Amino acid sequence: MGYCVRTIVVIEDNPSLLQGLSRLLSAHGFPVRTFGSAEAFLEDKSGCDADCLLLLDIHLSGISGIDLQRRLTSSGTDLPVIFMTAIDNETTRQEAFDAGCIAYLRKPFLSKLLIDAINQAP
Amino acid sequence: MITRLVFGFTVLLLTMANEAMSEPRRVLFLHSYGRELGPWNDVARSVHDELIRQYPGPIDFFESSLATARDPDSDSVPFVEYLSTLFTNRKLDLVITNGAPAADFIRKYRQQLFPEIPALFTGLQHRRAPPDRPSASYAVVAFNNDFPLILEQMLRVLPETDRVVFILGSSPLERYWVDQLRTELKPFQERVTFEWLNDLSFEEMLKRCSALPARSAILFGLMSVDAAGVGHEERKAFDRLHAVANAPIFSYVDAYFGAGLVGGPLTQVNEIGRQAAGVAVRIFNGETPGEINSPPIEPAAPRYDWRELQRWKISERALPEGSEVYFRIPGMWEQYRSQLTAGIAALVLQAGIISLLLIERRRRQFAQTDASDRRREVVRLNRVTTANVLSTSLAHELNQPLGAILSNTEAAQMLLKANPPDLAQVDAILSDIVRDEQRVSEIILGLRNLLNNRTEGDLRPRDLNDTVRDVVKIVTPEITRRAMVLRTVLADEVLPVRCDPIHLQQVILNLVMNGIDAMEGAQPPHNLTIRTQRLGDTDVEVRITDTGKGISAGKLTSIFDAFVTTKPQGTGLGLPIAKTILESYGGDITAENRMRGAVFTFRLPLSGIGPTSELM
Repeated sequence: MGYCVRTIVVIEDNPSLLQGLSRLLSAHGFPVRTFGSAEAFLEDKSGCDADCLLLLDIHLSGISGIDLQRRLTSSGTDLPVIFMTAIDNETTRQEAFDAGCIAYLRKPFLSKLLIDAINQAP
Repeated sequence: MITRLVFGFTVLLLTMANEAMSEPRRVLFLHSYGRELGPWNDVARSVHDELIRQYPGPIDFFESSLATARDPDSDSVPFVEYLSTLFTNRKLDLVITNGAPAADFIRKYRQQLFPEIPALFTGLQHRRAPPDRPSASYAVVAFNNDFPLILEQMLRVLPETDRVVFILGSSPLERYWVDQLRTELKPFQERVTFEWLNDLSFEEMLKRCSALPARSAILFGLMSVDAAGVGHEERKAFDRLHAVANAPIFSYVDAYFGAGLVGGPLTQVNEIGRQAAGVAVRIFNGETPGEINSPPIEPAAPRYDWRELQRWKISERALPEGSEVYFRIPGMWEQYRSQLTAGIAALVLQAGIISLLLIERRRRQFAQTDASDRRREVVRLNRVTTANVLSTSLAHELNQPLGAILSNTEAAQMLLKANPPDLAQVDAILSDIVRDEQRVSEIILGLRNLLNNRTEGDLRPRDLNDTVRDVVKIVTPEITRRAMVLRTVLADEVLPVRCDPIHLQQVILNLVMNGIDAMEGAQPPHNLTIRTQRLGDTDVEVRITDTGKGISAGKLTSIFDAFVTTKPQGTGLGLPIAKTILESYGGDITAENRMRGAVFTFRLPLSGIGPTSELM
């Protein structure tokens, strides 16, 4: 089981993947909160404290994952972020790291990569 | 006064001359064997016709035949008395004899019958002419027969001849000629055998001539009276002989040239007539007959009947130099030269045109195949380009369910390791995996369709609506990625079209991608609508409407031209390719602006109506 009990906030607009990730993280012992969009997360951030880790899809419809991170950073919220994307290219990758992230995952990814990234998060 | 006298005398002389001219010349034509017996009948006819032609005044002809010529023992006295009686009160201007017996008769009885009347002897051999010229008061127009020359040339054209059969009758004249020929032709007896038929009746002659041995030839001399005492009209006799003879026939005179004679150096009957008439006219004009010197007429240059040459297989190369060939039956070429030339020219022209057309057709086929190959390649590249454009959204679309499948699988693995495992949860996960897997399959299928590189055409009729649905599946990720809305309003009936679904899909894809690009950067909302409907009994129509920037007025007419594009990264080939594909199936496409955005409308024939595409 996980060594950390920090809550993982998953924001993903693909319901199937969102549920799959939720199941996976839960199976690993993480508390999980899921949102279908950045907008939904911004509306209801209750329960998302400083120990949370954000697992963010970059290409969210509406506010993108990178934009959300920028907003959170600019508003003083400094949460560890793991970006995930189905569209991997150099530009996206650069933007992701520029916005600030502890890991960048290319979908589909093995759970080990995700769990390792979570466990290595500050 | 003297002038008047001279004038009056001149008029008197002219009047007398005119009266002399208007007074007919009386001519007695005395035949040897009868007026119808050949070849003298031809000579008589020729002299008669020539005399009328050459003498300007009227001529009164009297004709009589020497009955005694056939029978040497007959008495001439009654015939002399007959003539004497006949011309007692008729003044004759000229007596013309035809043949040697008549000439001999006049010489013998001239003093008794026509002592003052000039005479002209013709139709006879020079050797048979009276020897007592020029003191005599008669003129002679004779001819020379060169029998050795005739035989020589006969053996030249038919060198294998070893037998010559002579056709001559039994009258005194004919017997005379038998003797003459036997003497003259003696030198040839070493080369050929002579067969004299003058002791046979003509019927027997015909029988003999119909069964002659090979390498025989016939020399037709005279046929007036045969050994049976029967007189024969020679022309008819010749025709009968020609009809039955199994050997080529030669002669000395051209009377039967054209009727079956092979030919040779022949005496010309018409030349005898022409010269005899000329001498007669001179006598009419006052010349003394005995002083008119007319050299004997020699045989003309050898003449041959082409038909007989063919019949007896005589080569024209074997003919004596200077020979002329008559009665040549023109071959197909000679007979229809102009028609054949025109026909051949037409054929050559036609063949030329056909060849050119075939070459042109071949060239066109090559060009069409080449053009078709190029178009097919362009369409394929167009699809690859579209696939490239869609690759980002397709990758996104594919990776999402794959990610879900992977996450769910690993979650399930962990759940199964728990004790007790949460099987209900695992079951729910497996259901989700199946659903996502189906989604992935759909996307891969769409991708495979998009990148299909097959070359053979698929012309089974398909529902146009299905093709639209396929396109929607392909472009939905892109639409979603760009936060646009794609709406379809499909006819609620099957719209069968007979065209390769890949081609049709490409047309719709191009138009949809065009619409998406046109809406990119434009004011929202970004709505793309695809409508299908049936147009009567013949066509289907697809309208693709966007809410983009529209087509600039300057490009509205050229939007389907190659390399015309409104997009910065556009190739300008999407719409021309769409148009080319549609036209190849008998369809067409138009573009127009709306209040906002543009609408592309294309039409295709319903299944079974349109032509087969050349893109196949």
